[in-house]
Amino acid sequence: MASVTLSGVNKWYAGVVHAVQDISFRIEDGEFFGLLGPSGSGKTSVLRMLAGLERPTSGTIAFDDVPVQARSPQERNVAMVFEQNALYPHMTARQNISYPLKIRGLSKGEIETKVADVANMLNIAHLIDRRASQMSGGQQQRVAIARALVRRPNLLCLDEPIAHLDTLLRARLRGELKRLQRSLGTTSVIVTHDPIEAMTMTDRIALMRDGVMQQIGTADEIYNRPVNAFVAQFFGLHSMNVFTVSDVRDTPEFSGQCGGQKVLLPDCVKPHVQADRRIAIGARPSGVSVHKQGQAPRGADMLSLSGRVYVAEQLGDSILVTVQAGETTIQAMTPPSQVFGIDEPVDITIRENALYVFDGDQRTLRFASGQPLPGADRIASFG
Amino acid sequence: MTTISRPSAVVHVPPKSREGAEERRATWLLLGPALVFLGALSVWPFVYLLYASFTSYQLAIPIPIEWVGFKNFSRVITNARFLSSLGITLIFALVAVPLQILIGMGLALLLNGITRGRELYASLFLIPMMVAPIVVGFSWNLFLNPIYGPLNSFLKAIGFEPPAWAQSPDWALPTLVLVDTWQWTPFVMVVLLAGLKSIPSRVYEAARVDGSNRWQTFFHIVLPMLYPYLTVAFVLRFIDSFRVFDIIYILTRGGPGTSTQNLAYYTYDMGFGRFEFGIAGALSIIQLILLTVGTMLILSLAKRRDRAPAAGKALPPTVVSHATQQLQGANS
Repeated sequence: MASVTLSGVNKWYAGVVHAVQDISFRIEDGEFFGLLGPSGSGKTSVLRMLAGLERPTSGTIAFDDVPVQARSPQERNVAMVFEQNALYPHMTARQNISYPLKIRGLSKGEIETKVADVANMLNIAHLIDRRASQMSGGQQQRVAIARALVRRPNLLCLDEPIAHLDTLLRARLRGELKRLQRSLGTTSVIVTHDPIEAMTMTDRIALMRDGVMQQIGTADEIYNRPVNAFVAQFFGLHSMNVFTVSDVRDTPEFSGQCGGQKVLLPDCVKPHVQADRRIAIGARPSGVSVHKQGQAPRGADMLSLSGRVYVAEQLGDSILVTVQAGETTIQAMTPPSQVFGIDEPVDITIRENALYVFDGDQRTLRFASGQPLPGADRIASFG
Repeated sequence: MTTISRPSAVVHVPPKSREGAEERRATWLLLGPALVFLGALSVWPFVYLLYASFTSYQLAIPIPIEWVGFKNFSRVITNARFLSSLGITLIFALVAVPLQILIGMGLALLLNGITRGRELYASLFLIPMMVAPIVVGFSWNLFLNPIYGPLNSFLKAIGFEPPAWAQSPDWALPTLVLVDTWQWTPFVMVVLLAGLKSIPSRVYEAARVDGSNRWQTFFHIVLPMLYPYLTVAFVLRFIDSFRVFDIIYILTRGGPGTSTQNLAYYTYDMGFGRFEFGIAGALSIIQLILLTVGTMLILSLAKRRDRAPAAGKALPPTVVSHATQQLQGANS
């Protein structure tokens, strides 16, 4: 178990692709850390550099403040669980799990005890004499996790370990992995493209895009204080609505233009309008209300605009309504009692306390959920 | 109950209508030529060979053909020449085949390790395999000629006293092994390269993270994963090594003396040198039995490996069964 520090890490592939760009962060001892991002964001490259499968082009990686970037995976004592198909197919589960111990020269008795322990921990004792081809995907991943944990690594690297399993099993393994990590206290890093996986399992998350670190923080921090529109849209079960309002003016009423539509803005936005008279507005679907045409409330504390229903999707306990307002689409989560037809004209309102304000280029958060951020101007813009 | 009809393509019901009869006729018409061909060129000669091996058939002497039972067989297996040619065949198989597997494995690992120009190198290595064995024989015959051959000229020029290769009693068999290895190592390389390609890169990475060094990875992981491919290569080369004839015919004619006379050459000599068709037939049948038993033994060993951890569930058919089919093709 160890703390891990990355400072100024860069990775170039073939001198052309700058896959990881000047990344620095610290993972505390025993922490469960998430590397989140869409495909091609560089998160797997970061993990492979942590594991020692690849070397950073520049920068340092330290375990317990000792630089390790030139060391092999074995010297770092890291373990890794891959996406899929990384079991040794000619070996049984038992042989797979004992392999790292065997090549370290442990005695037969020691190996047997350790394998039995870890097999019980992961509920695979009954599968122990099966080969990979005789196990389901979920069982294979359990064996892979057992193989990683059996030697108590300094760092456990998980590369989308449950991404290929079906939904129910994934949900169950999420919980199991989290409990397992907590009880063992092994410093762990999981790479995932699924914000829900990252939110539910990890202590802190690093969100990356195109090799650039966007934001590091707890799920709560990233969800409620996304540093830019990309983070806001990527993070969460439903993407945040973000749209740019231009030509913002104060007379005759405080309003702007959005894709050919007039938008009435609440007063709280006023201090954030820039010289170019543009502003970007964000709101999660749960904060957006949809009303029959002409029935929307009015007030200085809410944003309103009108549009047409593009589609309404039944989600059981709510309805996800997609509204086309000029060239912008806005999604709203409405109670199931509200029924809208396709192409029905509607009015949309967003209350001040559900509103996020970004600068006109959507690169920096200026205002979040009804309260101005302390030092909002100083929030790092990584873009 | 719904009345949706189920797809019925699973079971093929023999057609009974007039259309069915026509279809059957078309089937026979289409298959017929191939069956006749196969029968005339494969089944009939084999049946005739089997028959001949139990008779006193001698092409050169116009005596009536008599049924002699197992007399040919007993004459053959007590004959010293048979035993010596069997020994030479086995020595050839047990030296040449492992040699080819070893070098082929080395080349496959080498090629698997490079990324740039792998296809080019692989095709270059394949050239010997694509040359007709008779041409290989002639080429090496020229190359190794003790008087005019470039190899010996070169060796003499740098101060060696080179052997007469194919014409030397000590060097004739090693020479044949060398030529066969030169021609057929590429085949082993291709099979093993395919095997190496089938191992996902994640397995190598998992091994690296598990702390396994190159040798450990090779012996504990790569080699066991290659076993099915090794079995195929070994079985096919083993069968072929029994059939080596062309290069012996060109390079040594079984000599000097009988030092390179393997079973194939001995059989040829009995059949087409002395026209003892009965004896030659018995020799062929004996070879067939030896080969079948030998390969069955190898395959059952390979299968036992494959099954090793008893887990109840049957494993999917692997390359081994593919090899069995190949073998049946090769034997007939």
